Amino acid sequence: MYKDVVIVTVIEKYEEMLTLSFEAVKQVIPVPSKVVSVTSATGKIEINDISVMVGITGDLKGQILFLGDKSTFSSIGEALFGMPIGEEMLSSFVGELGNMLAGNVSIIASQKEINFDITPPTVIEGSKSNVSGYENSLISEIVLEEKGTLAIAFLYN
Amino acid sequence: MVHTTGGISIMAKILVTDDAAFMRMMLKDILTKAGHEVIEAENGLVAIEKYKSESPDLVTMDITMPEMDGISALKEIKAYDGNAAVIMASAMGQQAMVVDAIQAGAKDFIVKPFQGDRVTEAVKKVLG
Repeated sequence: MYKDVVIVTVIEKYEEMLTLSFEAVKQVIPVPSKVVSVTSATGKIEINDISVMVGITGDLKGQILFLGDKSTFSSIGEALFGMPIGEEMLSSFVGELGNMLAGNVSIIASQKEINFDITPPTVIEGSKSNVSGYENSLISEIVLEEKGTLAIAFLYN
Repeated sequence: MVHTTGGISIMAKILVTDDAAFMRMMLKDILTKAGHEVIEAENGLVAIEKYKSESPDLVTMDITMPEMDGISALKEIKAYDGNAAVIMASAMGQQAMVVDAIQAGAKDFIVKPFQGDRVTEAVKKVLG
């Protein structure tokens, strides 16, 4: 069952980015999905398992961080390509998924006249890593039906 | 390059350029099943080197890559060989980017994620 979306405190254009990123998820990942929470925070984000970071530069500047666990990403890969993603290809697939999601966010944003480019992805693996070096974060959690939860964080100053 | 009679299939040498090993693997799978020979490059700089050394019939080119991006590599390949056939395959499909790529000489622009038949159709059309 899904909870209602809760919006805490957000800056309008970055809030819109969360909405657009959900649109990108719906376009890229062919499974039913729903945003279950939206929060803003300062301080470090803890990463468990695996995540991918993509830089954005242009009208908006910062990073987009996609977080999930390996089984969720592997399931997403299977949904996208019709075959399970092997362990040896999972890191590369996660990087490419980050690239595709961020790229599609940039396409949708450009249609609303928010223009930015993306950098190549950086994949981060390992339990209990922390990401820091930014002032603010906006995080949405998206539940993908029968796949797991994908969190998307916008990190900016 | 080998042509069969009746235009049923054309086997081409295709240079697949993408920084993601996963995406190179997917494209190689799609293209070899379609009967083509595939060579790989992991960024724009390597793509230019391999274009010059291997003379592929067609190039697929990602845009967001380290070392050299795909638009820059496209321009250098076209400067080297004005007849080079390059298809962009990228997640960065904003209208301005597509226009830039086509104006720089790309024959087509495929936005990721894509289905296999989008790729094979685009390749078939460009190889003519």
